[in-house]
Amino acid sequence: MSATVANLKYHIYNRRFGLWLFIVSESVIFLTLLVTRFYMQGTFRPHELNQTLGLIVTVILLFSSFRANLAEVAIAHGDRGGFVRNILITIVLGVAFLIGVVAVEWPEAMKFAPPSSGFGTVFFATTGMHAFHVFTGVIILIIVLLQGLRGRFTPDDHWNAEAAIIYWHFVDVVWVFVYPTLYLVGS
Amino acid sequence: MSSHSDKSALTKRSVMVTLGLGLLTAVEFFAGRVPEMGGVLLAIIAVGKAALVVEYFMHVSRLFSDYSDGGH
Repeated sequence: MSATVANLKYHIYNRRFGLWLFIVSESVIFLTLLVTRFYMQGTFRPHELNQTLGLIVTVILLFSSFRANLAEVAIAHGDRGGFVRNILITIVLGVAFLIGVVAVEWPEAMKFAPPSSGFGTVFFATTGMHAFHVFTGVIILIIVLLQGLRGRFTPDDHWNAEAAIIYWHFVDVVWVFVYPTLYLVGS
Repeated sequence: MSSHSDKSALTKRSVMVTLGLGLLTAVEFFAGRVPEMGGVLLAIIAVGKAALVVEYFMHVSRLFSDYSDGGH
């Protein structure tokens, strides 16, 4: 291994560590919101909550994570076309998730909008904070898509793409906990 | 392992993980419709799903590998 490649890998290792520190600190925000749900409302869940829509947006986000992973595999093997195609699909699915939550679910959930309902307060705060993270994730994915189109990445050096994709998976992991906490727990 | 077969193996693993996540989501959805199931099963499923994503998609184990191989 040449000194340059060894140096690059050392820097990527450090950046990866920094990214995980960021992810752990971000997790605390969502952990607080999820604990607040149980502290304020116990296991109460309004009948009006649309569980089917919750399932649909969950599947969309899971599938977007799959596509993001395929994009990472592609760029790590020098397949720029596969990277661009899969990142583009990930972005479209991310936007579909945002539409599902903000444009479809939120108007339905106005029946228990804050401040009239404690559950509504937690629901809008948690899904709103998560939607904001999805929105920023989409922006970051668009940036790495443009970088990929310009040929910025190589199999040895594609840290920006890897970091953006790990962040996207983090957004998915957060929803893995938000979905049952808001849509499934209780009666 | 050649680069092509390596990519093919990683793609297959990605498909398997996604299928696992889909299966767990289906179980979770139906468990949520039975109030008697309680939150424990939902919590176990959520932790299982998160573990799959964190290990296979976010590659958390790369953090614990020697930096000289770039964590790959």
